[in-house]
Amino acid sequence: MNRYQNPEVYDRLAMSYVLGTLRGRARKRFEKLMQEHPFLKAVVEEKDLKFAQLAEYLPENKPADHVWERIDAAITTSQAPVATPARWWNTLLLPRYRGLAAMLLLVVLSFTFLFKPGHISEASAYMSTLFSQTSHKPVMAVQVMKQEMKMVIRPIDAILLPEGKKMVFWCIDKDQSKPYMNMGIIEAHGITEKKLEASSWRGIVDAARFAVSIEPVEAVNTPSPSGELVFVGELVALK
Amino acid sequence: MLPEHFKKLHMEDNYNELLLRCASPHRDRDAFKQLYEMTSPRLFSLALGLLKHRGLAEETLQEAYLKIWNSANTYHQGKGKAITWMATVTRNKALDKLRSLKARPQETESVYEGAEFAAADLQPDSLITVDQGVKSLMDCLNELQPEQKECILLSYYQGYTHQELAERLDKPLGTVKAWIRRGLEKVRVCLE
Repeated sequence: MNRYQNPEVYDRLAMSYVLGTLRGRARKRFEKLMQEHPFLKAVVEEKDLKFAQLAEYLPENKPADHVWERIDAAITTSQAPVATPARWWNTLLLPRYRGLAAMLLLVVLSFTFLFKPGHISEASAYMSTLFSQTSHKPVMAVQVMKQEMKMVIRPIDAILLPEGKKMVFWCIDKDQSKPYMNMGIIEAHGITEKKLEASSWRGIVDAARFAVSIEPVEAVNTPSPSGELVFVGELVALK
Repeated sequence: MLPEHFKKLHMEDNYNELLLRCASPHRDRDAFKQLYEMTSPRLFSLALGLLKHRGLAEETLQEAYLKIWNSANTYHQGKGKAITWMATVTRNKALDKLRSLKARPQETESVYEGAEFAAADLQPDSLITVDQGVKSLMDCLNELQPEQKECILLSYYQGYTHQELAERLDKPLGTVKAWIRRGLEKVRVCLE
């Protein structure tokens, strides 16, 4: 390290590193030294910012529109930022939330008048409102009906997904030691209807929550979510 | 006459403000979109210059802006101006991409040739609106011999290795290495 304690030497190396002209083994050696000696890293960062000012002299070249669309979609799904501090229940007054408001009201009424403790396993219909885990806003409503052996999933708004990703729907058992049940992919831009097999129905009867994860298209059959659950909602037995 | 890209430097205060709004607890996405619209043409140019392939440059730009959005709360003015910090993020992403490829991608896009846009001597009058930090760097680069400056700018903007520069400029490898080494040494002393 003695050599690198000479400011002239490490300053020059840092500039070469930033410029990109320090190559091969010399570059790797310098990177190793940076990990061991934070002051070298600080010098490199300082040079990096110094040279980055050159970017201001570049001629402009507009990227294609789809670049922004993909960035925006990735942010929407991964972060779901809260743009305004408005309470989500205020949005129930908006026309696009009227359907959801009616459904939530139905859930509350049904829960109040029809739900009987201990009778959950006998319910023939379930509902759930899934909430974004970041913005805590409602994002989709789910109905499950035994008579039709059908599950209907309605996004409240179209959901933008990054290219190559799909939403996968999960059923989470009350017994947390049990694996999640993959219910397949759901549409981001409209209603998804799923016919239920008897085994899927049994899984729903035993479920505590529904959830959605974002998965790569080629891995939608994954036995468990590969990342965080982005939308989650409790199941409510209706009757 | 002030070149167009210098006029844009007036926007610097806006960039800082927009970036800070992106980092606010409400995560202002309108501010981020505005920031993207104002800065992406220059940062795309930076990525394209290094990668020389439109698809790869677009992919890099996307990754860079996602990092900018996700790390906006780590930005502070001690990290330099907003556009400088964003350029660092973009260039590092482009260099990572370049190094992850076994060979430099086939040039599919006619990008700026050389670095003439930044190589012209800057007269004091044209620097009135330019930030002092940029001015110091350009003053130091303007003191170099033309070939030293060209090699440094081409290394920075286009990511050329010594060997690639030697081939491109049709000069011996040792000569190119010496130009860069002496040029950087002069810049280092000048910036002190």
